[in-house]
Amino acid sequence: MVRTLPSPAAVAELIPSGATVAVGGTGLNRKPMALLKGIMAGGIRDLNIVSFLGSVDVEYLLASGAVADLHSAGVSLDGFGLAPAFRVARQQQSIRFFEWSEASMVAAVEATARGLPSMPCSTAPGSDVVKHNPSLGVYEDPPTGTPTVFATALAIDVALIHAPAADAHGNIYVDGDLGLDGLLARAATTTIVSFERKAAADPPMAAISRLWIDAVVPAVGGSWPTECHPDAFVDLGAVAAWAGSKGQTAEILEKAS
Amino acid sequence: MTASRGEIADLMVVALARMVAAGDVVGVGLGTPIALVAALVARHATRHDVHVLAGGALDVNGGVESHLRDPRDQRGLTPGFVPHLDSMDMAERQAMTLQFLRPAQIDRFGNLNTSRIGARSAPTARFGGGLATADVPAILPRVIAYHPDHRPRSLPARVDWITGSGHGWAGSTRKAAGTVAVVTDLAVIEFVDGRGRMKSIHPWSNASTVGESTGFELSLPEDAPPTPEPTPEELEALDLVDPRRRRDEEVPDRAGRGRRVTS
Repeated sequence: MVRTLPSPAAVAELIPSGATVAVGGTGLNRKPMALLKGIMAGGIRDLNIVSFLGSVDVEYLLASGAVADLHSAGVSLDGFGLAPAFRVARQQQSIRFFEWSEASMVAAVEATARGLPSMPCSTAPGSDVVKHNPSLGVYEDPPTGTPTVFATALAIDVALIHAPAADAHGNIYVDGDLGLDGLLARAATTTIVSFERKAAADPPMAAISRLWIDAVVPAVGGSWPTECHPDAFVDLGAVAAWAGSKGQTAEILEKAS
Repeated sequence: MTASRGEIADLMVVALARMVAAGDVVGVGLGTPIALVAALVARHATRHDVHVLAGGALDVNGGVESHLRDPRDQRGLTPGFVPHLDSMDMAERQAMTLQFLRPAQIDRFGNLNTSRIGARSAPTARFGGGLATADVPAILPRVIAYHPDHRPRSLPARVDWITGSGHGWAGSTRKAAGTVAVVTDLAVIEFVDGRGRMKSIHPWSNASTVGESTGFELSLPEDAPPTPEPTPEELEALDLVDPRRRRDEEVPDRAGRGRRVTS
């Protein structure tokens, strides 16, 4: 049964400090900012964050001082320059950063989603990403003996996703690229989705089945300042303002509501 | 002799575009207009016998600005969308054949660094992260790097961090050549048998500047030809696909390349 939470602030009750939280969306697309704001308002800290391709989501959490470990294949503000809080956190070593490549992180999440201990991936065995990430290693592929990078399954307590629409049953509808969100929903112990609007039920067309969803939360503008097609465009001014900041004032990335 | 940002961008774009072969499927990442314009110029020059995947949309009908729109606003302009995870499968199956990458550093082995400059314990700058750079050199038939600020720190003997490993990987059965060439604001370098060799030199540059600006031993053949300037047809294609000169954004803004003291 999919629960409907009254507001994004209610998610804080479902997430203990120290949890491993995967943030959905890619780059400046469909970041669950309202849910993250709810977690911060609830005082949840010391989080292990997984963000496949991070942007203002990672920036907001770093500026809030909520991150212990960060797993990501990259954090950027696309054309807006370096992500300031990420840059400072890396330079000051204020978090533990686990660098992934795209293929290796997909493999690690897919292994969890499939209930497997590890998955092979196409990442270059000679990469320092493989050398320094404890979840990655080079092994001989058992059937063929080919040296191959394997990613250990990445355990995820909670996945947070923002989508344009949900139906009354808790099925999720997305217009366009799902990114990693379908895998995250399957891999996480608990999956929470905020949505812009109610959709008429059309289960075969759902991007993510209610099977994988634990709670949905209405949140209009919940991806601000990132995009949620077709309901919201990227707020270019807001992203530019953040890029030009020192990356320390988290409130800049909180939408008034 | 000095060159303007625009002249540097134009020559880098056409140098990259000339390395695209008919039938290539070129994947273009985010925030790299020189890569995008080069792929589009090649597509134009081959009368569309080059395919371009950018931002999840395949063979978008139009120039750079069309490609920079959200793929979902391109419904009438593209015959196909490729979800992000599928684009990775595409690379793995070599249904994509070439990428232009713009790393922070490239070394003599063709190793690419998109992650950090400086020691791991105290990085002085931070770039994006592993991204797909740790994946594609091991799987795509070819990777061509470019760097618009050729200096020893950009082309060091050894990158500070190997995000993508260089010329394929010994022991792998995959048919990936790794980084086959580098186009900079001074020259075109190709890797032959694992060694860097200047293939051509830009008109505003000279062999000693290229040598001094490179942190590794580079073969500098005396007969290396000048990089041919853009032809009238190429200039026409550049105007057609990038009338607003988005390609210039990637070239550092400074007065002239030729007289700069290398560091």
